[in-house]
Amino acid sequence: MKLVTKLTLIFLLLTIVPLAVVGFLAYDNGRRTIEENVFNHLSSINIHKEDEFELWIETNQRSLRELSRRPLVRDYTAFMSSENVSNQDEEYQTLYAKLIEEHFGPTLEEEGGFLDLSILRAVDGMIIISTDTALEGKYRESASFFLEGKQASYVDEINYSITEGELVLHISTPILDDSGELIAVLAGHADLAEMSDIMTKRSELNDSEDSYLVNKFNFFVTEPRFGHDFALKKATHTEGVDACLLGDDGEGIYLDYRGEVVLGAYHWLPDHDLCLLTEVDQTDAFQPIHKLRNTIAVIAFISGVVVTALSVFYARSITRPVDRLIAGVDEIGSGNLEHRIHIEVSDELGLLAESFNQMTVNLAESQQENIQLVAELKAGSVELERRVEERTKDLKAAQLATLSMMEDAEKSRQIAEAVSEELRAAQIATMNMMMDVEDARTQAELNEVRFRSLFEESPIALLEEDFSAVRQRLTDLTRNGTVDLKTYFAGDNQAIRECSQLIKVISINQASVKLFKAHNQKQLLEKFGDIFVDQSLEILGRELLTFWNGEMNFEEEFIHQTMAGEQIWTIVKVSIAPGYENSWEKVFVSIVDISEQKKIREAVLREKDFSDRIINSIPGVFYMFDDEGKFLRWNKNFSQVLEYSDEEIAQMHPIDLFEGEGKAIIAERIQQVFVSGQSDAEAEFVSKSGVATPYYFTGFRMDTEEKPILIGTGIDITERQRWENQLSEKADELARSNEELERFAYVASHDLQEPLRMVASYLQLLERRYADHLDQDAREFIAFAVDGATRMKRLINDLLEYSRVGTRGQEFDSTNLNLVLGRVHVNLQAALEESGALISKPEMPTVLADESQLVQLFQNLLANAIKFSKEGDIPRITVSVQDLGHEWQFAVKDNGIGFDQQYAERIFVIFQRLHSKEEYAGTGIGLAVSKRIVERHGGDIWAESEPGEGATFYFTMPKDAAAQ
Amino acid sequence: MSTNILGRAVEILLVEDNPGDIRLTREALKEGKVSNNLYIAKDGVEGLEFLRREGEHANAIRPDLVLLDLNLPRMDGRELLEIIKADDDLKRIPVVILTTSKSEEDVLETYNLHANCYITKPVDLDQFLKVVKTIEDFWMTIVKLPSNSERPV
Repeated sequence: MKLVTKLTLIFLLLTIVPLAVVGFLAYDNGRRTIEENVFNHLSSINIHKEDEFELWIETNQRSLRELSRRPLVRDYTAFMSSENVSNQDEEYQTLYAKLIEEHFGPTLEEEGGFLDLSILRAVDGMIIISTDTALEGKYRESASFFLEGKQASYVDEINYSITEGELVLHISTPILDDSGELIAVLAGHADLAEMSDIMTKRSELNDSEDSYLVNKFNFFVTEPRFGHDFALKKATHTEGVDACLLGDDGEGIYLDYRGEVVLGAYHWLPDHDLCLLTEVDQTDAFQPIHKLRNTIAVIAFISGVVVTALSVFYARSITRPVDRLIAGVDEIGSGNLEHRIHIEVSDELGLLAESFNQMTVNLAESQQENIQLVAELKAGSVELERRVEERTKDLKAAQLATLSMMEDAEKSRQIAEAVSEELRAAQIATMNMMMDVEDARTQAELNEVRFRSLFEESPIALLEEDFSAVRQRLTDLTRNGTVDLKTYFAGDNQAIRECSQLIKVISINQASVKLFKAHNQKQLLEKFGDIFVDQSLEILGRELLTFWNGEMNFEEEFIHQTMAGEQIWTIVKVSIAPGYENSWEKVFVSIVDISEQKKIREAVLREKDFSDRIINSIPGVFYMFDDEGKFLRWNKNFSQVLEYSDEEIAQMHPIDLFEGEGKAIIAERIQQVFVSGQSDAEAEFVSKSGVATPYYFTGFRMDTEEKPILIGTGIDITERQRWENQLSEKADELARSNEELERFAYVASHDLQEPLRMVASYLQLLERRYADHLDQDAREFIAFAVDGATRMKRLINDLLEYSRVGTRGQEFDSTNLNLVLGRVHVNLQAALEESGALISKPEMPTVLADESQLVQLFQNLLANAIKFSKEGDIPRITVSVQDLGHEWQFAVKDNGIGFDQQYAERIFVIFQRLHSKEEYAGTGIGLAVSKRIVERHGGDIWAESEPGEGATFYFTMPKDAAAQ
Repeated sequence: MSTNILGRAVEILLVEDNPGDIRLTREALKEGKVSNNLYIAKDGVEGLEFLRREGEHANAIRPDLVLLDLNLPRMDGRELLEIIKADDDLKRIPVVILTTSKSEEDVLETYNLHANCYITKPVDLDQFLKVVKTIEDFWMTIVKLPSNSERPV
């Protein structure tokens, strides 16, 4: 769109829019005011009509009441309604005539509100007198005006009377005698024509104003203005009527009974169950405002025309210098940098022209800078190449030094990647530079010599080729029906080779000669086809397809063959030069040798494969994750046990593999590994399907350059836990069975005593009572039997004592052994005195023990030492104690008869004796009980002796209560 | 036989299931110096019936002393002791525990149940006779018992 048109339109818009807005607002405002006025007017008409209506009814009621109270009327009525009067009676006839002529007739004429008047007999509602003689003799006993009228003055509803065949309104009032007794009911038939007159009286404001009454059944009660014979024959269901019949007052705009849009006000008359509506046509009401609207439209049109003319004129004056500016810029744009724009005006346009002139000067200067830029690009690529070489050196060093370590293998791979990245960057930069240069050359006429030298000296192998013959071939192929080149190339390397031979090499730089190990450019040009081996032909096929499909760039890894016959890995980037998209006459190719990186990468991959094999051969699980819990490596067992895929594991946190308290344990131990270098844990691995398996994990921290890593392994300890559980169950079982055994021994020995006592007692009773009748033998037999029973009793008591060590022991408490030995001394008083034994004892320690059992222990040992003394010798007993660090070792040494060391263990077995009962009394329980006591305290007891050399009994007692 | 503090024969209830012991006790009492009547109950249930004059023992005499063994069929001595000592009518009758058990537990438990004394039956006959005589002597001639422990009419 031209500027002139635009400006004109803008001016027009600026004028018309405000005008339209103001016009609309004025119109809308006026309309609202009128609407409001009309509604007010209609409502006031309603009120006015209601008043008139009520007044009319009241007047009628009043005149009826007045009539009913006339004394003569009352008297006449009283006479005429009495039962014993016949209407044929003379007096009756006289009174009837008087009543009609003197009272009813004048009332009808003067007041004019009734069509006829009647008197209904109070007894049965019969009409006895009426101005309409046809009604006389009829009964209205169930009419509401009769029933209500007996009580008080009453106005009936307006309704359609079937008997009278028209609309009627009855008003009634009682006729009472002097004492207030009811005589009859006076009823008047109101003249509804008068009511209709009230409704149809109109104000002069509007032609279409219309007032009417509607009853509660939606029927017209008065004739509306635009209807004929509607009253009580037609129903209306307009919005106004419906709202009004709900008992509301209000106003609105709606369709009336004719279907016209009207403004209406409605008013509910609750006393009469009627709705009063006053309406006026919308078109009629809004007539003034429509006039205003038309005026505004005319004004708008006139201003539009004037403004258009003015704006065209003004716009012209602005665009003229702009046109000249455009012409000048076009001139400069077409290459004439010498051109200057001349605009004499000094406004913004003049300044703009000035700026253009300045810009032209700058443009000429920047062309020079462009050439400078190309040189900088070249320097940049040389720098890149240098950095690539440096990193390659790093890579080799790293590879040699640390190839065998997994961690460094990863590092090597990263460096290799970095080198490749940088090489790629260099290549892309060079390529872009060549493209830019080519671009610059075509557009800014860059010196061809400079371009050549850039091309020639680039450190990246560059080739400039002509693919137009190839393109021709492809075009021919498609035309010959080989529609799908992809399929065509796929099965036939020869076809690609033929294409490759169609590539015309235009120029090759020095770096290419070096890359392909050619003697010189000439050799490379002549034997160019040799650089493609079979594998590279496939890639070339893809390259050609790419170009054929309209792409201008292609890049991929290639395998090439040098002139020396060796294969090299390369990255080749091929781009069709801008401007040659259709002919393919100029194509730039850059080639980077990545054989070195490839080798390193393969070595790294082998290294990775090696470590993968190692970690996969571990019987348990192996995993590595960083300090943020991201898994870096894991073995197959790991994913198999957990049932997660490698992708899922890569997204998971180690804590996710545990549940419940396992989560807390593992979190704490991981923390520990990262803080202190290593840790271990037992927890249940929870697999994806919810299977929990107990594992024992060990983890170590490995610090890499970037961050610390946790390396861990875990083994399934289900089996071990099972054994542990079994072991603990067995131990519990054993403890239980031991306890039962002790209990059994206790109960058994206890119950054994009873029969023994019987045996002994009755034998003794026998001996006592019948001593005189028994001979020596009998007495001796009895003595043996009693002795046997007594000994058995003792054995049982000993057994009881033995079992009590385990079952009836007291809690361990701090026990002073000096006091213990004191008590022993007291208990053994008699034996000591009898034997004259000498006991030496050191200061004894305080131990944690069952005091009464220790009394028994020392007592047994000392009593034994006294008992087994040599005949004639005074027993010398030495008690000693030795601190062994974690336990005390006590010894009781005597100078008694001793025993052969081979019995050293046997003497501690219950009821085992080394001597006959005749030699030394006793059941052989003492040492067995002693052993149990020592064992209960967590110690050991043993004896050393030689026959005739005395004996030493040793026992130990741990100091640590926990060991007991 | 001499008269005792009551001026009449002493009524003794022996609750014991072992006929041997019953006989021995009877023999021992025969040799005693106090005139006595010995009644036997074979277990705790019968003992209680006797004391409460129930069933066969409706005409039983209220004993002056109860000799009670601990290990008895049906209701053992501990239970019977507990019932006697919880019964307002019976609790003043002295109960002497006479048993084979030397167990500290039994001693402690029965005294906790308000046994009046605890005696272990000796194996030796002479010892046994001596013990029974001592019981008789102590409870029937030395101790002053409340007067309402007299046998009702």
